[in-house]
Amino acid sequence: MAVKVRPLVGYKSLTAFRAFHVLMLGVKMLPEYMGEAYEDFYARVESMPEKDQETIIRQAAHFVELGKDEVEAIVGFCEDPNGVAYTEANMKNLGPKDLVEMIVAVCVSISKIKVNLVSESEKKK
Amino acid sequence: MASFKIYDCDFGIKYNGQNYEFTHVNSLTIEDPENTRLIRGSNAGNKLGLPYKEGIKDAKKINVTILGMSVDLKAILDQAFENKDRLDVYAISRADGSSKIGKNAVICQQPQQLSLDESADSMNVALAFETFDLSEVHKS
Repeated sequence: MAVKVRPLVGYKSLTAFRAFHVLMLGVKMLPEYMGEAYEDFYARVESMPEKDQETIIRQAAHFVELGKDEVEAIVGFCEDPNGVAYTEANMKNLGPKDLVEMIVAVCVSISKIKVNLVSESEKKK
Repeated sequence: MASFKIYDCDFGIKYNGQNYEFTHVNSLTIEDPENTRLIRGSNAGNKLGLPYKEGIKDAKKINVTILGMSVDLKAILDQAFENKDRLDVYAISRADGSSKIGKNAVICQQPQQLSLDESADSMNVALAFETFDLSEVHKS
């Protein structure tokens, strides 16, 4: 299923952004990554090719529990076949496979958003 | 014309294979024009009369108000109204689970936004559907 992701704007984009980091933190808690600081782990994920990022996000979506609001915020950036953004009204059409695919698609888009306290140009200075 | 009201139900629309369901809909009205009536001659001597049907060429009408409908869905329903597209509608009573299902319905009036909702993303919309295929399932 090809997932169309809408532009990440509006209040729900912040909820989705936080949900993405909940997923990443959940993965970081796996024994294989536990030794790393979250910043280091996330910097490594950011530098990965998109396909590897997708694998990690998919892994996270499989076992990290998100709240209803967080799932709704993420899936709300996707559209159903009629072009209607998913809300509580039409989310009942979705199975776990669809939900995981949408979480992955939206989170890959979110991973491209850079929100840093110190910008790259400031770091160079 | 008979008019039924269902209070506190879940109301759903199936359009192009997608279900859109709204929970805790305050009320829904169904107007059924079909009547079976009796007639007799003007001497009034016949105690049985002749039964006949009236209103059978008019469709049954479903009126409902949806709170918090997304702007996207309103646009799709506007389009369905313009194109005279077919859709299925259903209402399930939250009290006893009995349901009414209207198949191959059309939206008979332009979906009307009732007032500006508090959210910019959603609105309150009055919908009216017509169907000839209305069935009901009662739970005992």
